Amino acid sequence: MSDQTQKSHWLDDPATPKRLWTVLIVILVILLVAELFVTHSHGGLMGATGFHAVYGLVIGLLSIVASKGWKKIFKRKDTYYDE
Amino acid sequence: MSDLLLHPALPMVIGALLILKLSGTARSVVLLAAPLISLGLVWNVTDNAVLVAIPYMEWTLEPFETDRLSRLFATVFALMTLAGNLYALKQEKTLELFAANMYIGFSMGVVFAGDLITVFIFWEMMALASSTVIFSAGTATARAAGMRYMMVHLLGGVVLMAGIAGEVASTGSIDFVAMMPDTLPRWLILAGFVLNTGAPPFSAWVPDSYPEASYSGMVFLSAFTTKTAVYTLARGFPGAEVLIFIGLFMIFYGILYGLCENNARKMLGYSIVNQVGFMVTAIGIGTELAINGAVAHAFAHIIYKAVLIMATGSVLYVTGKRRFTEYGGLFRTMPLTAICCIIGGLAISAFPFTSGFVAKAMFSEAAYREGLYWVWFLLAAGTAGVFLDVGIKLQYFVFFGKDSGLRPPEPPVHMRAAMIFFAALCIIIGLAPQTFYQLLPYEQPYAPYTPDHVVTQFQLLLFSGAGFFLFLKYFGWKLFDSLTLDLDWLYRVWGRKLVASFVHDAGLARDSLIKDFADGARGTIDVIAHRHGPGGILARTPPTGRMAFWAIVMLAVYLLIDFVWM
Repeated sequence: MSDQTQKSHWLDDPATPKRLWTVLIVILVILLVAELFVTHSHGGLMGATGFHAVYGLVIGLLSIVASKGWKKIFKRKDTYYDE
Repeated sequence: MSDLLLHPALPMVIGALLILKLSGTARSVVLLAAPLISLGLVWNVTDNAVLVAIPYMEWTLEPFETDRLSRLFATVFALMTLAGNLYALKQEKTLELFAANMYIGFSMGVVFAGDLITVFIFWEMMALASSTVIFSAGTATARAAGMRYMMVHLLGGVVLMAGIAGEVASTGSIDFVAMMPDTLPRWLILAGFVLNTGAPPFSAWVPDSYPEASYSGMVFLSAFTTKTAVYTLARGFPGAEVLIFIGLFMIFYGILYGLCENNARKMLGYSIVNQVGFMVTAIGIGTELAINGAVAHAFAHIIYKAVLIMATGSVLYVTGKRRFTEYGGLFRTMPLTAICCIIGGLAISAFPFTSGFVAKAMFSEAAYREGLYWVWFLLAAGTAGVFLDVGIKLQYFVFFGKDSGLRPPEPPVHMRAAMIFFAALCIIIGLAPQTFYQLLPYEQPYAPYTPDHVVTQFQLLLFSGAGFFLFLKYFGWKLFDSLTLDLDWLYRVWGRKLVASFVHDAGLARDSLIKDFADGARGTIDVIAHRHGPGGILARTPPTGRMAFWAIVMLAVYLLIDFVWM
């Protein structure tokens, strides 16, 4: 067990985040290309090419902005209720 | 009456009683055998039948009525008990296991109830048993949270009771069948049910109380109260439009507070509200496909949420720590727990090839077919939000992220076995959706794996993840040792102030009343003392001479009257 903990894990490699980003971007590109070959079952914006990708990005942004904003207003000390 | 012996709740209740007296292997055998026997009973009951009818006053109670909806919920309840009891096999607090198994038995009582009175009785018993699960953690914070939990549920019980009484008075029927919220009693029944889903304004009872239970207690709590409420809504109020709005509120409330939260298990409490929000919305849509989706989601959710809570419970069990700010880098020594947790995270995010995907897809499609496009957009946004919350944030801060230096071991073998069992189910259901769909209440053919759906779902999730990380770098992100004010502020601060000011005002009123009374009494006493006291006019001993004088006066008056009138 102790040997295992001493051994450096590939996830600890400083180059790993960059590699993961590369892999993610490749997958995203594949998904965008793949969409060109499928028939959408939904009409309107819900079936528009690229809609899900853009919507996803927007949700990612909104999540951060909303939670940071909310935290700013409603953050209290851990001991708030302990009188 | 012999059919009552076949009620699937019975093995749970008997098992709960037996473990009070048993220990060691015998206790373990009972804990694992009871849910298996119950599962066997669930699958052997006749469908669509009233198996037990008991005359009660002018009505007939039907404590054991079966159909596909009841069977689906009872099935997942029994499976959950099996996994939960396996996970909690070495839990030293027998009280917790006793209360948990009773609680599950009572939930099954609700699920098989054919009338509103039986629903109410088991509903209240669930509240008591689940409070006991929280109390049995034994800490001061658990006691306080348990009291708040119980107060909210007793309030809900009163509302439900009032609704049922009104419904019975106005219709004369106690049958538990589909209704619409069109009268005051039905609104009250709806409110009673909805309160147990974690709906506003009481949403906070879930994240407030559940994380205070022990490492295993929360596993049980996460599954039954909210999902029994989903069951009662699916049976009692399918298509009640108000549920769409309530459900959508719960979805985004859960995500927002989940993203802000620093306590890992409290965050999963918010995630329960969020997930139940999807089910409540689906019930509000109300078509057969939507109801299938809602109950399929309840089934899938019980399993993947249990995996997530077991994984975070294991981390709590081996590290004794609860906060994201104390975790980090645990994948090194807990790879199995990490993998199970990630599978649960993928399933809750509705990744294709997991249980969440095949369940959630149905009600999104139902919203689309009903022309509720705005609901469809919000459900899609909610799905992406869950991924950021539980799929990324939870996994990242517990198992990866900054190395905390903690090197805890994996949890004991029975806890690992329970996690593997349920993580495997998440995948199996995702890979064999048609087998899973056969359990659902309505015959509604649906194919989740179209190329269009798989590609767009992957796009939605992975682009939101990429966006999240991208903007995270830009905006920065920090977790704090803090809490975020929630709706429980209403009763923990404002309600408390209200009560305090009432106590203060009532105190003043009482003091002034007492003073007035005392003044009055004192005055009376003084008057009496003045007249009758020593030296008082009525207390003097009258001299004989004065008596003779007054007797003469009276006689004289008498004589005068006699003289004048006669």
